[in-house]
Amino acid sequence: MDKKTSQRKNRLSFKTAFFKCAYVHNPVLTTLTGICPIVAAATNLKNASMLSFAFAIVLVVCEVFASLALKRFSRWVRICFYTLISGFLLACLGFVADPAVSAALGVYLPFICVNGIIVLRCEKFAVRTSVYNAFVDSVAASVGFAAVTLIVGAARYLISLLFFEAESSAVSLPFISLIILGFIAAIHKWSVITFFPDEIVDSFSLSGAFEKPELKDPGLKSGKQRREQREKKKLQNKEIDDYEQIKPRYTIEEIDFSDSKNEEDE
Amino acid sequence: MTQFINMLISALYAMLIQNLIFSAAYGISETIKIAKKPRHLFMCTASVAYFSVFAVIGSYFINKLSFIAVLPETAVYLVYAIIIGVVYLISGYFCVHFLKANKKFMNSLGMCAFNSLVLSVPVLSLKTGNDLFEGIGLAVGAAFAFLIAILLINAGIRHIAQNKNIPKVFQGTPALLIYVGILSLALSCLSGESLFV
Repeated sequence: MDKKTSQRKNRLSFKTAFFKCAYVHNPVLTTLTGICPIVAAATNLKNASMLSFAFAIVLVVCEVFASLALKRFSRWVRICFYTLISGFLLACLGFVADPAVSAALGVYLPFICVNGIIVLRCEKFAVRTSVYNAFVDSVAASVGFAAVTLIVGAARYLISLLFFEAESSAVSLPFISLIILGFIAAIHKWSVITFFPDEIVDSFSLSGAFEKPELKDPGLKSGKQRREQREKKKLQNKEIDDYEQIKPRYTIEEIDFSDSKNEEDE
Repeated sequence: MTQFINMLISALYAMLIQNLIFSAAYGISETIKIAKKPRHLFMCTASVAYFSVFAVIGSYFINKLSFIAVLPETAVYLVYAIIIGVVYLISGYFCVHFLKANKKFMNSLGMCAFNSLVLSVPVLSLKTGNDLFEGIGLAVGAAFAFLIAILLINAGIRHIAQNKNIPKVFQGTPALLIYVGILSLALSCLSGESLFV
């Protein structure tokens, strides 16, 4: 019974998963992982929706399978499994998919099997948690990916209608998508900073490269740094406790001002 | 000699004229990731070249089998992925058990093996009807294209990180994406296509 209740407590809710994984830490916009199919193949809404659908199927199956059966393998072996499982799924999808859309997506549909988000989500989350949590996380990550893909697809189609001729090859080149993605990332960053300033957005910065991110919470650090930080916090807490013991333990509400009031009245 | 020249032309084409990363976005995520922290730059380039070359050699012999011609395209790509997977597993086993490679190295090796750039090399080789030497040239060219892209993006990251005139919202990833987009536009002009006509 206790085990069951603890499992229920550890369950990831859809709301949290969507907020954290699909919005705040959107894998495409924050870490720039797996942008190859979006940049190259999301030229309109039809292609974008097909990409998103294929990606969702692959990610859900991979994460659930990783959580179910791949926990015992070492990391470098698991990476190979993800590619093979997703490759097999996409090969099956190739039989079912609309030939016109498959032709439009070209090699980018089967190339989803080597998408970085699959490895990232499986390794960071799925292999360390329960099947249910892995499923919820995969759905949330798929929604995050789909949202960005659909926006890029729609924007690219609109731009091609408004500014380019129909036969122009510029529309199919990746630079338009990259610039659109840049603007989407900026809007996303603005929304997170404005509405949820407490959320860590260290992935936005070019951290580790040449600048130090300005953060309230320093985020993930090495083990030694984390230990030092914990010890510092402990020391600070101890100091606060000592101070609490010294200072008088009453609040403003508890002080009885009745005597002083009476004196003033007199 | 002719084969060597063909190999060289193929490599130069993949590297400069139609840079696989900027013109087709193959492996662009991995390129940006390594460009942010280029500590293992040459190791990663060498790994990409290694896996690409083996993928081309494997696919060249696999393509000669009769059943491959019957398979649909997506299934053929799966076969190529399996070839890369086998090469990766053998190399990984060797690195772990004989070279005592650490976790970071193995993570980098996985990233270099399973990306769209490596998988694109046998696919492009099949589509353009390259022979074995041209295919190897394409693989080496893809690795050098990867190196050039990393160096170009890294140079941009330095300037973006130091530039304080960039609005706060655009600092970091958004500015980097726009920079890579402009680079991609610049290198697309080398392909000789008329873009805005």
